[in-house]
Amino acid sequence: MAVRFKNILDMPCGIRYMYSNLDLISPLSVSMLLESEMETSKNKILLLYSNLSEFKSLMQEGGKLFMIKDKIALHLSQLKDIRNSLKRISEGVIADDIELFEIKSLALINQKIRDLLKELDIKAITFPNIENVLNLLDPDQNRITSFYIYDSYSTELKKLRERLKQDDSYNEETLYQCAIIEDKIRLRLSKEIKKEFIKLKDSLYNLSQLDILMAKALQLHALNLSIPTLSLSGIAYKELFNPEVANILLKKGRDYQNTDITVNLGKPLLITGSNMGGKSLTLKTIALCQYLFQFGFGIPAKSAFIIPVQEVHLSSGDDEDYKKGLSSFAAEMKRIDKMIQKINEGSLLLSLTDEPARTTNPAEGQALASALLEILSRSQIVSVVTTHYTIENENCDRLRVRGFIDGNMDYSLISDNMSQTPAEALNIAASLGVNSLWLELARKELEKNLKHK
Amino acid sequence: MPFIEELLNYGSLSIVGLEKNTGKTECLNYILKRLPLNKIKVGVSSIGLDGERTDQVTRSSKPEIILREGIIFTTSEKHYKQRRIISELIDVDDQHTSLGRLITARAISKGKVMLSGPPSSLALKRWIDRLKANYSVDLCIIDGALSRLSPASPAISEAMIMATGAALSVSINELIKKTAFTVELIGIEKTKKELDDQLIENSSGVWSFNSITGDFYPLYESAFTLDKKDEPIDIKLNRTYDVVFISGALTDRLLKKISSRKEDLLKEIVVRDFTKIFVAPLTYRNFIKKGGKISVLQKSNLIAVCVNPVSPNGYSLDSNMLCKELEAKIELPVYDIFNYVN
Repeated sequence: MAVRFKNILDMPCGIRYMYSNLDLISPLSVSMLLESEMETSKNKILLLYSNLSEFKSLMQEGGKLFMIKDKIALHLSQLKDIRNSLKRISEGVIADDIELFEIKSLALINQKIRDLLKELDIKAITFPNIENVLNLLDPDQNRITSFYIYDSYSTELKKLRERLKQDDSYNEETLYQCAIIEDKIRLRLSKEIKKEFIKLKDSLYNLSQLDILMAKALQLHALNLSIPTLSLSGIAYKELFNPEVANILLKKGRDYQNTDITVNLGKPLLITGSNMGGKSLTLKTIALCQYLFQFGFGIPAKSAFIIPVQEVHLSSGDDEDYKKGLSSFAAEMKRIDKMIQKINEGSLLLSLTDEPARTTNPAEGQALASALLEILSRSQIVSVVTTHYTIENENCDRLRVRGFIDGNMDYSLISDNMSQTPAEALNIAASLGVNSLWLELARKELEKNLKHK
Repeated sequence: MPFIEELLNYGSLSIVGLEKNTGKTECLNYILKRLPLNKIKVGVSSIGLDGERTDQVTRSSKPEIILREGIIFTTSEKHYKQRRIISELIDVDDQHTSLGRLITARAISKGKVMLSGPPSSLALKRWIDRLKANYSVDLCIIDGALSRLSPASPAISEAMIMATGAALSVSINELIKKTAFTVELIGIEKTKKELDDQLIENSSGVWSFNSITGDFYPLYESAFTLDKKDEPIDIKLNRTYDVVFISGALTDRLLKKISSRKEDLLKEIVVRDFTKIFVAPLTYRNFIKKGGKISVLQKSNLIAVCVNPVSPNGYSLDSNMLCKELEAKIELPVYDIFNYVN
């Protein structure tokens, strides 16, 4: 089953922030985006980004499209979702005045935007010429958004209506005769419009795509995003950041510390490091970027090389599994099991696992995590695991959060050769100002254990 | 011709019936027929669903709204399709009602339509604003309803015409008494205090408001769940306030409660508009007699009362006597529209 944009909106990776930050004008574009499917083919993703690149320069400040974006927005704001009306007409149903009005509005918007964009020579989107539909529904060439069965459609109708207007009293019979002629005209109009159905459908789709591309390009400039490069060997980000968290920090007057990260296909990346070091956030941001990539958005990094995958598996602790009646351990086990199943089916996955088996006893937890890493290192997927356990595995890359330096947290990731994970939990807890007696007792307990060994 | 000239001074008008079959639609048709369309542009719609061809309750025939060339009207998709008029469609609203989207059109011939319209006060206000801004309409007329529980209030219009009649009561005395009480409520003065916007946005509860400091606090959670023993929330904090704002309905029980507390009796009671007052005449009069004061946020100017002396089951009252007596009681012009219709 294909993943649609609306399915991933509530994934705990912050994609909703990107969506709500997107300035779409027409409600049609909103539903088109929500219903759009995640692209997995290289060619389609390349096409998405060649389009976005074109719009990136058109929409930069002073760009040709940027200069007229308000005019276009004015027309796009009148764009309605008339897919059902179009479908009915394509099936041969006689359109009523409301549907004819909707089609006329679409034709008007299409022609106006077509005129506006004529000079720009945009390659990503072209608009069909539907002047003939417009002429059909606007025989008097008024070019305003309104519709009725005009007098000029039929001389007979015109005569009847004139008689109707002359009559001072209300004449039901004449009105009925008018209605019969009007229906014949509607039939004729519907048949004519049916012939242009493909063009109208294209117009509706392309107008919404224009809206979406303009919004994506504006977001790209506003949030400092970049256009990624397609990769076949894994993922590599330089100066990766999470836009939502960066924005929260900015409001508090603090800076976001960007990170560099590379994951190779077929070789899991193990991230260790102290608590509060941003490990989980890094995982979530990687998931976010993958989705943004496969839906053709700008990527929050200075540079990005990304491989298209078939599915993204993010296993993090804050899922609401209790609603399904599962304990956090059971839910996690099922989640990872499902992922392994997908690996066995031969899917190319992006697998992101945050602290596997952390909710059980350390001995068994360490064993489960090590075994998971063993499975991951045998498969042709892109995978990242974070952990506090000491895991000895030759076949994985290792990164470590630099951690507390001089009382400040350094979030940068450095390569690490030790399999021993750093022990900083007590120091960090102390920096949070938790109860000193508690920490004192913990320290004594720790020393006791070390002596035993 | 009664009151047509006066209507030209207003930007919006609602026509409300005290009961079904009190001649509201005749009254609306009377106005639509006589408004000088060469001088002003007119738009018309209804509060929610209205304009059935036959009355859904009594099955008696009900006149449709008759429009003239040039009048702009808004109705639902369903009723637009059933129209018997030549009209130019000018807008399709995205907002859905139970009868489909709202369609706005301009009448090109004379003809009949059934009206249904924006379902809430806010949507109604937006409709008026849009018609004025986009189509330079001078007078927006709302076919309103009083007897039905409707979230949309006709009180948002500047002017109001009320229809009453034998359908309300077949006893002239009773009819006059009931009508006069509603007229009295419509006449409640607009408050001079400036209430906080945030307070007004609250959709429920009874609030205390200090018009000098601008502070407001909840007094009772709701007028409907109010119990005899209930004391105001946080009464011990001794907050000072001069306004009691009622966000929802002012019920009999709530007004009695307020009357019984000396400190609240002397405060100004503010309700949204007169349609939110559900109080028996006796309770209301007692409250006023004790020195209580009620005011509204939104006041509509009642310019005339129309009467229909015929009840749906055929009983007929003496039209002249009814008009005269009612006029004397409420001190407003009263017309039997049926005398003018033909």
